[in-house]
Amino acid sequence: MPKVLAPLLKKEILDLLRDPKILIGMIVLPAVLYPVMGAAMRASMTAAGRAALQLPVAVLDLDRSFESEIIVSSLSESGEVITLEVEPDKALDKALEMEAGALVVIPEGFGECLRAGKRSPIEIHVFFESGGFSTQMFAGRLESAIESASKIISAYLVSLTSNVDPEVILNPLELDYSSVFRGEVLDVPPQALAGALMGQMTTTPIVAMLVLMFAMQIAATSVAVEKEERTLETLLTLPASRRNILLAKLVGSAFVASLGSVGVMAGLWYYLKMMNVAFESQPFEGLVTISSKDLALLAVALMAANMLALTLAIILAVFAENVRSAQALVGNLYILIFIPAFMLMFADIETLPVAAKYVLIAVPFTHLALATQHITWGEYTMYAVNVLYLFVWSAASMLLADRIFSSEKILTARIRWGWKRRTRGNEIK
Amino acid sequence: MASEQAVFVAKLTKSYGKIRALRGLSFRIEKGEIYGLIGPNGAGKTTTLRILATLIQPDSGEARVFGYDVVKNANRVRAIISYLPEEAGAYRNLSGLEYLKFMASFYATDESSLQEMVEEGISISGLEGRIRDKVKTYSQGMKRRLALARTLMVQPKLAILDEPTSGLDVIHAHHVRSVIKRYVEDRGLTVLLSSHNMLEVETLCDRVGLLHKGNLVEEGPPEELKRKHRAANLEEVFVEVTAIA
Ligand SMILES: Nc1ncnc2c1ncn2[C@@H]1O[C@H](COP(=O)(O)OP(=O)(O)OP(=O)(O)O)[C@@H](O)[C@H]1O
Ligand SMILES: [Mg+2]
Repeated sequence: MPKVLAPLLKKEILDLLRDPKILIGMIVLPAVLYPVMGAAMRASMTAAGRAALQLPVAVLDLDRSFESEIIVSSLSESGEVITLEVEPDKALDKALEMEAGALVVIPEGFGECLRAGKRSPIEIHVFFESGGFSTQMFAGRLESAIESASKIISAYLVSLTSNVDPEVILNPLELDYSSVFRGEVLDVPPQALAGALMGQMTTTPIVAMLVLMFAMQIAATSVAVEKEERTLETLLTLPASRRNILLAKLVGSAFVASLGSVGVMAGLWYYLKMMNVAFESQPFEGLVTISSKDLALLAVALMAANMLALTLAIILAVFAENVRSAQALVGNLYILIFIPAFMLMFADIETLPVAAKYVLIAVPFTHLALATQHITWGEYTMYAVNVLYLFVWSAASMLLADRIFSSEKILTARIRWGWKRRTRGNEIK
Repeated sequence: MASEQAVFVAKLTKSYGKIRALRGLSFRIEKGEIYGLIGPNGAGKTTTLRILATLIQPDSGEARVFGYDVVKNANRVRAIISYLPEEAGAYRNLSGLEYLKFMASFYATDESSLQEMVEEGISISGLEGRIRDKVKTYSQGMKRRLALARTLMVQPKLAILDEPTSGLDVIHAHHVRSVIKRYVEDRGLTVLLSSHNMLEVETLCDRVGLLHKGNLVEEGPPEELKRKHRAANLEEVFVEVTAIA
């Protein structure tokens, strides 16, 4: 390592990390924001869930048959039930008055109708009083209670007319699913595996995008701030080669960006965990375990894309006069990262229209998304092609950055925005 | 091929688009001299200094610092010069002390010489009481003093100073001038500076070059120029020459 690289690197990292905009805005805040969001959502959902459980169901049973009893008892099992003793036309008002969440009306002749072999009507009114999440959860609870009542009635009706076990008639198939993944037979239902794969194939690109965005913002800042604060001219006349100055900027911003990414990912992970707890869903983690080899390959692909993103950001920032316009300029690059990531998140590239496919393939960042897919499917040759393409782009853009840094372009290059005419004559600096 | 001639500039031209900033400028500075470039706004002073500091490249002509070509041997030149830009900032989030240490690390050969440079820098800046504070808390003039201190403390062979004392109060401007004088006498430093302060140029510079529209229109020791133009001070020379030219 050349002697001058160490102080250059130290300066980059210190100056960036001590910048409140970066330290608070890009590292601390995101790391804190997601957990706080997760905790808040969890608290509100738990409250909503509790409210949904406490909400009673009003029942007006006009039949009082064996069949209607099945419905009432199934409802009682899922929560509180209020049995109404009023005229049918008063039932709705009464239920509302008693602050029930729903009214179930079982008409006269309900059981008889079923036994005669006909479908029988039943009225269910759900009240949208407070609205929001708890109504949704309440409606779900109500539906599953009715569903299980309906199953019991089915079994009962079957037993009236046939000797076959009602279980067999209602559920004749004994299902034995397994999933074949990357040539291995896994004892896992395909829906679950598909869900897990989907999760992996959507979260990986999103995390990768976050990492790249951070890195680009920070790299652009590290160049633009030198212009804004008028430190660039001094820096460029120091006895340090321009290549080392560029290298320090690349490595320094990559380092600071990785701190930011770790913060965001830790926050995001905690947020998702909170959400899982709140929804009481089972995450499929561990179902498709990423091997450490695949993880290392992922890291290499991410590094290649990151190098390219950093270098492009630095090149763009050279054309900006201050940090703000540098960050705005770099924002335009997000399109190149977002569009391929989102398009490939749900669709296979082969299924896209031909024109779109070739445009996408030309964009280097597409190959990061493709590389993650190829890792998932174990197609390592294709993965290597993707990573190679990324590295070729990185090397080319580094050469360009090196050219710009060693010429006077780094001081004099400008891009002007808007329709304002170029002011001729007395432009200084 | 090192040479004892500190600065050699011949037929230098530089354009920014349609603006011709330098139009065949030539001058020389001997080792140990203090040479002052004066001239109206837009005359090309900063452009000349930037070329010599390896920041921008001339369109044609030649510029050498101690024999090294500023374009072909830029890295060699950077090792022996120290440049103070017209507007120089310092890293906001570093302290003055950290900034001086950062700058010294490029020139010092070992820990003790680094320490020496930093001590020297602190004393030149006159920021003893505030040196551990962040640069963003400094006033404009304090930042200028810090920038000046880092330019001089590294003991270059040639110091290139673009309006060194602009924005400094009288005391500090005087202090800086005496430091420059001392460095030239004790260490054989060569100085190329630009200035709008005629009094400063008259008292500090061995020779003066008057730049006008990208060309040197007058050159010589201040005393000689005053005699030649029968002027009481440099300001009168300046006004007379630029009015005719
Ligand atoms: N980056 C630039 N782009 C376009 N024109 C420039 C640029 N820098 C300088 N110029 C032009 O070059 C000419 C010389 O400018 P320079 O900065 O060298 O003048 P100067 O003598 O230092 O002036 P001052 O006393 O105002 O500092 C001016 O006409 C200026 O407008
Ligand atoms: Mg100037």
